[in-house]
Amino acid sequence: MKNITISEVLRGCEIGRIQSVGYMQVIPLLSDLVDKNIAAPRFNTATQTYGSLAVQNPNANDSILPFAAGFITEQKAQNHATTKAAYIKAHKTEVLHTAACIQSSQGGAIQNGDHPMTILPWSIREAAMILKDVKSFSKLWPTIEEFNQNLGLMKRGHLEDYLKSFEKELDTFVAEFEIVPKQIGAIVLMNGIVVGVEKAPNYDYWKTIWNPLIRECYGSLAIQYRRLSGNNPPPPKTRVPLASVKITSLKDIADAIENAKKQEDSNVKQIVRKFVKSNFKRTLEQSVGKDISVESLSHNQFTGQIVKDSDKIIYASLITTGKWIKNRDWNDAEDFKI
Amino acid sequence: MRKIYYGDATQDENKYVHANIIGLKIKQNLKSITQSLSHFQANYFSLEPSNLREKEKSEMITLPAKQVINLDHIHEKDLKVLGNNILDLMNLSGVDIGRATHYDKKEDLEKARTKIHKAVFDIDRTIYGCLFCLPGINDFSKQKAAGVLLAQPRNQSIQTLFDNDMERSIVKHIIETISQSNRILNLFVNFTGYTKKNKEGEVTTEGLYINNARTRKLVLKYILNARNLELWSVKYRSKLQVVFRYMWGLKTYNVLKKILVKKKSSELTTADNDGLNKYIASHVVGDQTTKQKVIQCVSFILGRRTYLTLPMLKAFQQAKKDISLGKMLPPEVLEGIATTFHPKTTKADILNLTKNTSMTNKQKRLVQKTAQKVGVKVAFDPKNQPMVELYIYALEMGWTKEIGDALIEKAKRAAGALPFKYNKVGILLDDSNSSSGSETQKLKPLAISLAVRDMIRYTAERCVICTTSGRTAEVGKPIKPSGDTELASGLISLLQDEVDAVYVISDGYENAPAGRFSEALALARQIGCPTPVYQLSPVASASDSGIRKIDPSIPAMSVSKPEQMALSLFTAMLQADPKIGIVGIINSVLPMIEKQKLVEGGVK
Repeated sequence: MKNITISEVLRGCEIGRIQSVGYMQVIPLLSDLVDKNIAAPRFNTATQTYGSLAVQNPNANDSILPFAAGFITEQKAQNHATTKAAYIKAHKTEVLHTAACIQSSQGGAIQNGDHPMTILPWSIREAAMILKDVKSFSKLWPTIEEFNQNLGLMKRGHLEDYLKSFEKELDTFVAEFEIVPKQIGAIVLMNGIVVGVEKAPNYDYWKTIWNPLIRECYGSLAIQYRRLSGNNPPPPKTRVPLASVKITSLKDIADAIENAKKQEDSNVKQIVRKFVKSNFKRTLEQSVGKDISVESLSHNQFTGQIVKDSDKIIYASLITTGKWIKNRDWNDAEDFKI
Repeated sequence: MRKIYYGDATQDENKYVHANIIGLKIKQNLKSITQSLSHFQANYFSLEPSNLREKEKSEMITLPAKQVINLDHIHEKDLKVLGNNILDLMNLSGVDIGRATHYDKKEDLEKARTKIHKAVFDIDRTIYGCLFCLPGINDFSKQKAAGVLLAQPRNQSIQTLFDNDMERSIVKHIIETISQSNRILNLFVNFTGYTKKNKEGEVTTEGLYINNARTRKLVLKYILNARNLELWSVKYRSKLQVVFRYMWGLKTYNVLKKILVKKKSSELTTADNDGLNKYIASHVVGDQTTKQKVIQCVSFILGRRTYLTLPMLKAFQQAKKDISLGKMLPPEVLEGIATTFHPKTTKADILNLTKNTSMTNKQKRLVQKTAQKVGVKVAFDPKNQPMVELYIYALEMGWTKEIGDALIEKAKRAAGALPFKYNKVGILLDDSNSSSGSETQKLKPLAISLAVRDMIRYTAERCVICTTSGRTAEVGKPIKPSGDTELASGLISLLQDEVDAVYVISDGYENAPAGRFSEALALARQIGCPTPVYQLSPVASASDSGIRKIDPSIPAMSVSKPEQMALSLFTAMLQADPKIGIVGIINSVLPMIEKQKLVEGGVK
């Protein structure tokens, strides 16, 4: 398979104005090029056995199960998550045998129903990607245990502990950011570092995954940052303070605001430019008919999955690897030039 | 930055605010609302006719003179605490409707609410009660307060501002000023203890289990003297049964039921009549005919379906045979009868039967979507609808010139009731995506913002309006939520227009980027721009963390409807001086309670 770049993944998109609150920044991806035939991800789910999740698409159109989606139920049953994205035809059911339990000490099978969908927290998604083909319902427990422990919670493989304990903070967090017109995706930054690139097939799909993605997936990272660095984050690298020198009139302030906007826009573009040409290796995960394919992508900075319809990339979910972030200063450094 | 200008833009700029405070014109150099308010308070609520115009004199002439309020029983230190607690309570009580918001869950709000109410109640329960008599306090908060006051007996060893009798009047006033009958009855049902099944089938115990003589007396007197008791009997008979069963006790309830339902009037014994008199007629204010009507309504509520003479009760029975004979019944009651006795009756039939007879104007507005679906035209008069609801309607069903005219008319009226007037005002409207509201409060924050925008516009001769989305937002017209929240450009642009004050109508969640508004405002202050800036936070429901301020230096007030702005101004007064604020509030509330006491019967 030919390598692919983020530039190709995001073809047809342009970037909107950056939203910046606390440690997190969201760069909206806007597009007129949408696939209206993909239904928003609302599924009925049930577990057949531990580690096998049946996902039924009740919609009149085909839909895409997002990469690393979890299903949390009020039933006395074991919550499950998937480790791969899946393309599901209208009114059809896909059984995913590589699903994972995300509630270790709870027994019982999930009865078929419309259970709330979450997207796994950022730091668990990478583990999900690494273990995507492993058939073991307990495969994510160690990662969830570590994740919970890092957040000051009890060390156990229960994702709902995180969702319940930080419910209020996550609600406030997601309310800080807003969907803008024509938005179908986002580049997410934490403290100025790109941590994810998300693209949906259309506006309705994006609106539906917005909450689980921003609140539960990336929100977890914001909470982790705050635990490590305190409640007063430094201004992100993209943020430009208003120039306070030579301000003698309101017009000067208006100009300073405009200049800051331009400078911030330029900073954002510079960050994006750095990775859009990186080449990804591709692995085929699922084929549906002649045209549809679900693929895994890997690269030293990103890992994740995309869904293609012929040449068109209709869905993408890529996260920055932990290893890359650890070495970010080196990775960000300019190549030697004379 | 696209802006709309209202009024004559070529007029000579005047940097002074013209504050018209109920007949008292003052010209002040950019004074804050807080200062204006102390004049407003001092003049409007002192009830000294010399300061009032003829209209106000005629409205207030029957009210007693201002009382001297002595707060000596509260320690100076506690007074400050009380002032702050009242501030929190007032910010909550204008907007709290017990529902989740875009930002807060229902359970979190309940915890926060209980804490905030308790903080004031524990210092002085009668001052606590007075707060809920203020105009602008919503029904949900009144329900909560009435429950709190009635559930807890007075401790005679704890000194309060008012005595037991006055507290009873305060509670009565709170209940009587709840705007909707069903909410009053829900409150009474909540006084009882009842069980409820949740989604999982678990049975939970709800209600306050308030069972004391003053509550029983108050509730029975209220219901049995209600002007609409006949309508309530057909509409809320299950709720009323619950309330009667609890207030009379099960044994008395069953005895009365046996007398009223199973016996003909000719079969009643002296003991029966004594019972009816003791438990029903003795509570009724009126002649024998009135008492007989009330007894008939109670017998209907308890289950009697024969020998009925009151028109609505008769119609209820007749509609079971011929649906058209029930056209005077409320549509929801008729629909219930149709489901059981005339299953072929359609929604359209019910709408056609009731649209000109029993449907209220509010119901007419609420059924518009259904009526459109089933092809029935139900005319409603927008002039009778509150501004916020009218905006929600316009956003969902479409805007018409008639609606626009009604909105402008109402905005002018609401602005006229405010104690200040500007020459030129600037409005920055946050129309970002978050104004779309939560699942249960769809579009409400935006509707509130639009209504408040319209009202603020009419507090001034001239006005400039801009939005965070950069779109134009014409007064009297809705605009849909869109985009992120960038407030700084709008603020500076309005300041450049040399307005007397800037009102930022925003939930305070700035994100493009967060903190830019404060940066820009600080620079404006640095160069000597003194224009007052206020934040009005549209709140569809309360927030457990209070108002989210865009900038710590500007006064922020929560608002859930334009009519409630005066309440926000009281909060500004409390911020300025807690003692004066508390006295001012009590002085403004007492005449209303006294007036209510003077109204014969005093019931809806």
